[in-house]
Amino acid sequence: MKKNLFLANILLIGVLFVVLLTGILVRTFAPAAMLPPLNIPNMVVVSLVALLAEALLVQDAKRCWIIIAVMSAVSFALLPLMAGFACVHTAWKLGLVGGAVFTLTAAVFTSVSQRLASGPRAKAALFVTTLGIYLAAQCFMGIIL
Amino acid sequence: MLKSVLSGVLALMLAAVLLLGAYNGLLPIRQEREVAELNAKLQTLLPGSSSFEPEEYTGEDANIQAVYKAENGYVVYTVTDGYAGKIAMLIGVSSEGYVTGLQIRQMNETYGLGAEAKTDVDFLKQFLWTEGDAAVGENVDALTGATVTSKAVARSVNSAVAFVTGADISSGATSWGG
Repeated sequence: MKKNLFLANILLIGVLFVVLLTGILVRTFAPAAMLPPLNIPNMVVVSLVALLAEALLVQDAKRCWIIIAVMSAVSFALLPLMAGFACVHTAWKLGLVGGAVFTLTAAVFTSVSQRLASGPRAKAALFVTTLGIYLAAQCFMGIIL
Repeated sequence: MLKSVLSGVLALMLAAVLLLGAYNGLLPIRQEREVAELNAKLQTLLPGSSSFEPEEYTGEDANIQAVYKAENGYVVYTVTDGYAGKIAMLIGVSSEGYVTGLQIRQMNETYGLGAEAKTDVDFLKQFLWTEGDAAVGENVDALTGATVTSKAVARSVNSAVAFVTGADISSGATSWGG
């Protein structure tokens, strides 16, 4: 696949779309169900899925951190607003936090995955990196909450 | 570079439009199902009632958000502060002031601790037939490791009963800490 500066963000948009569409369907057909909130740990999960997909598709993906930060902030603000999961007052906060979370997660993921074993075990290294960052984010939220 | 920019922006616009379309398209179905589900739930929480009328709440208890009046009591919708956010509940109270049913509708409490309040039958059934005197540590055993959540539930129940019986809002039934 040709290297695209926007690939990580496009995949993030795809993951967010699937998650929010699922939320719309659950809220419509099972109104009593409690949906998980769009909080920091769940934003990290969404970010990691997108980053893992990008790493599996493209080796040594190019990064423009400004594009990553801005596009992810817009995605986290706009898509929940369109899906009815946020109002205008909360959408901008979601955007700011989401942009920061995705950018930080991308930085950590890229840094760690590039330093793990290459060769035949390179794919496994990506999954281990994803799991490690997810667990670290959960522990971090458990500490600061 | 321009192609990359366009692809990113197009993907975002497409996702936004599709989500907006799905939200608006399914909204009538969602509203219909929400009303049906709420009616079914109200009948479960206050057995013996078949019709409920929303009644405007004009009191001072900040925990009470909505009231549904039936022929043999009320179902009160409360929102109180839990450990990790708001806890929304529906509480059925008979005209005599007894709790006939309760359900947690929304919460974000800690998984494995406060979140157990939603499904722990032994915890929830302690509130049935109480008369606004539920007190954690006295006649109500708290969930292990979830005292704040337990007190929030007790506060909700006491607020609901206080509304039905007309008890004084400034009593300990509605203050933080149960």
